[in-house]
Amino acid sequence: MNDDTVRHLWSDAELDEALAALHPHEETTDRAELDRARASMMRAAAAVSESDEPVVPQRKQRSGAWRWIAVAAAVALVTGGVVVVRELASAPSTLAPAGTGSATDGREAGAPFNHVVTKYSRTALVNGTSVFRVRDQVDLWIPADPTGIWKRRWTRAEPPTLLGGEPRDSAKLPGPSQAEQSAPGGRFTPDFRIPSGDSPAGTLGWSLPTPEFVASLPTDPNSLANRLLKDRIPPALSPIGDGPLPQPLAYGTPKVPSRISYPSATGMILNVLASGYASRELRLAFMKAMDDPTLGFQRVQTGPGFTQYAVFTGPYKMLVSVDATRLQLTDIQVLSTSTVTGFAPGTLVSSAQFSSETTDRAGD
Amino acid sequence: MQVTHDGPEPVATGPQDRPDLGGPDPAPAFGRLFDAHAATMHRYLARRVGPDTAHDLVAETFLVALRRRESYQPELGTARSWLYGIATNLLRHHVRSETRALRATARLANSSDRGHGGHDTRVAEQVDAQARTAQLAGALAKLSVADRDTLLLVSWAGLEPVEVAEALGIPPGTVRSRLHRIRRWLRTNPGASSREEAKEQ
Repeated sequence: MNDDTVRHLWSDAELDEALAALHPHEETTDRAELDRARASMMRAAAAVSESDEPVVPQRKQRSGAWRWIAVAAAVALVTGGVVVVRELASAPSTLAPAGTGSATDGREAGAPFNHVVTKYSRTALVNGTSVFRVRDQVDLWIPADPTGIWKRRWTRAEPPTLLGGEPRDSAKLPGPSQAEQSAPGGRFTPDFRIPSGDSPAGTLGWSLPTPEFVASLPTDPNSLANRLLKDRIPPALSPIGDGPLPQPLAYGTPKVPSRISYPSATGMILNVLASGYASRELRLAFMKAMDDPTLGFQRVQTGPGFTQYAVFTGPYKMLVSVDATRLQLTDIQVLSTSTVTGFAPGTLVSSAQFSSETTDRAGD
Repeated sequence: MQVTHDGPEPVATGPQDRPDLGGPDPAPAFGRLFDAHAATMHRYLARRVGPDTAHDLVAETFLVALRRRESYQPELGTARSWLYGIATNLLRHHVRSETRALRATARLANSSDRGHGGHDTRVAEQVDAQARTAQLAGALAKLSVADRDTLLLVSWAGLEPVEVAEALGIPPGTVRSRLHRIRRWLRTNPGASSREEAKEQ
């Protein structure tokens, strides 16, 4: 900077002129992008009006009844056989005024958090005859400063659903449970009970991606595709269950249902997208990689802001859905394609749904 | 030249600015909200974090707003300030990249003006304006997030101070005093900020 050209006291007009000149981005609004965002929002709004969701009460009703709503929001969490009643925090704070995040304004240290929710559903076989659907959920709270304290919670709360066999066999299934873990910088211990936690040792990174690992991946699509091809394990050595889906379970019998395996590059991509750690740029690179058939995905359906891929692997077909507007993995379903799996073709064997939102509190 | 807002002209408030979002069919009201505010919100966010991330943030802002529509209380503010409050919260995930971009702008503008000798008045004016841009970018990078939000919601998004107060959940008087303090600091300290930026190169 040449000090001769700099005046150290500005007028209001000069300050406003400088503000107007900084980062103008005058022609940067992509109408098509906005149209996609609008369509996505309108679909969500239509889903609200068509769903059974209770009508949102009018404000005057709310103001007089908020305490009742808070009481109704209390949930019973069953942990180790002890019922703990915990009242949920009040309305999510993304809507709260944007404050400074300090302790004095009531926001939790580290806020806002990116709350990533993954809901798993899988089948459990009891005594080789009865089949149940069991559900787990993993909540992950990532602080605005990724070096801060991360938190995650695994919950199995819903009772199993009988798909076939004897209802009394449900007694052999494990009961409701919950576990929580916090870790600076998201460096969780790898034995946390996430459903895919049985990934083989030695494949950490792509199998159980850490924030550091994800941050190290190239965001250039070509470089990323090369990295995937270089790192993927040959099909003959491909580990079973390498991917973000829960495997079918077996209880009370030596008979083990067939496992869901993935082409390794497919599992690598899905693991990172499901982790919630990938930046928008990296997610975009992965979406482009998914259009490369050598990595295992076949595009089967495209709609406004929505793309679905199929992955065929042994006696299973995996359907992977992504929100093309937000570049987010939203849903994976595994369907049986052969009776050798023990399920009729077309049966949903396993699934996972992924979502995220911003919140000011981690875990309440 | 006195430029108060670089963003859109302030919108006169009326019932349409404080819609009832609590009905059983939110689609029409949210469609109108999107049409009224999405493009201007995108321009504002693009100036802060770049156009691509801004598209993402606009989409997320309206989805969050839809999901949490019951929290909107018309008597506490306009829908526009409520939406910008949500966007401001979402923007917090991008503070680091915004700060990096501001510093990069400061460095770029600093380095690109070195070839000019100021041979005539026009060039000198251009260099002066470029230097001010560099100084401002460096100074904005040094502001606290809350101060930067306050200043840019007024200067770039075109919100009135009372709307900024609604968006940030602070009293209007605090917004005005904060704006006065920030502008005074920017007017009197930009040179120092710029020199510090230059040292960091």
